Amino acid sequence: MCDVSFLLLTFFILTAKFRPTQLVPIEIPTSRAEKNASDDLITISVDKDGNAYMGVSIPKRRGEILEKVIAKYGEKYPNVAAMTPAQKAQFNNLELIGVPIQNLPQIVGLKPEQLQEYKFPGIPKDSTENQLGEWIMAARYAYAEDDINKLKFAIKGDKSSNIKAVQRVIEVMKEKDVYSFNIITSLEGSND
Amino acid sequence: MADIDTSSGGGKGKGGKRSKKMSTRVDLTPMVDLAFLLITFFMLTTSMSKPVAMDLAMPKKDDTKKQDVKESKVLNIICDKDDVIWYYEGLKVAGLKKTDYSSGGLRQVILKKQKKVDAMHGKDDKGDTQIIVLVKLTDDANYRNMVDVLDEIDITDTKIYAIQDLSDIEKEAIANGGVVKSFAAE
Repeated sequence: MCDVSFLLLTFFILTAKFRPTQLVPIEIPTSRAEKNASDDLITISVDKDGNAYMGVSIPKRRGEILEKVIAKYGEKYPNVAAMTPAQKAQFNNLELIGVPIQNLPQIVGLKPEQLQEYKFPGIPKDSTENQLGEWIMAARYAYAEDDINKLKFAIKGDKSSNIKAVQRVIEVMKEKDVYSFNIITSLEGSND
Repeated sequence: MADIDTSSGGGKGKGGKRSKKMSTRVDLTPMVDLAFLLITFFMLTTSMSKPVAMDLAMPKKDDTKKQDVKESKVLNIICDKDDVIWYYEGLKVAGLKKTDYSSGGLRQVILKKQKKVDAMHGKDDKGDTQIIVLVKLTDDANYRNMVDVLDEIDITDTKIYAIQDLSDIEKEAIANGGVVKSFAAE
């Protein structure tokens, strides 16, 4: 029995995924939906102030998407196009993109504890400077090289965020031909 | 026999005339207790922190094809500030009523309308109810309201629904607490 219990213990410890430290606090609403979120997911988060952030679950994809941003919009953001390979590697460790594109080179060098204290302004998403749309396009280009069907978007909004910000995100996605997406919620009843 | 017998497996050291052998057995009970405690902990935490996903599909923006909809199938739901829901059937904005997000509120409204639609139009080929729910959100509503309504739609097995913008007459009705002045003459 002792052996079995330790085997189980090892199994659960290894399979347990530690919740990544949240750089931006977002309280997700609850629902009774039971479908598990996919592993390869691009999450667009909206916090309670209405700022938008983008998170890519697989680190390898982050680099691919950044390359596409540089390829398509490099002229607009010369300092991003001039990022060194080391900086690009650091970008792969960013769980959340929460700054305007031109500020990326400053943010990649920060240590985790500095990131915790950094106040993320969010990705601009209004019609005059629609960087969120540029990221979505870049993601589409990056996934198209592999398999466009693997591209899945999700919206993760804060319970109390105003509906206008979320609707703006949906509008941007529609502009970029993304019509189907997931809504990330937590299971009703769990106090998470 | 003055010393304390440390061996747990009794009877082993009985013939020991040479020197008293110390038992090599260790009591494992506390360790097993701890192991089970940890197992329980990891089991509970792994299943709890998993986020779940709801699917949502929006109509294509260049989709100009208008669908004709029977008025009698339609239920309009309007989310307002402070967790208030307004609802009305068909085109009767004047019949605006109030409800809330509890399971006795919005869900019953949808189920009641479903029964009405079923009685009038019957189920479709797949055996689904033919109710059409139109969700509208005022600017003061928050994101949780939207998710809650979508969740209720999912729970009540409603297949046809859409998120739409508010019309002027609906805005007016909400501003006046459910009364439409331009309809008052009717």
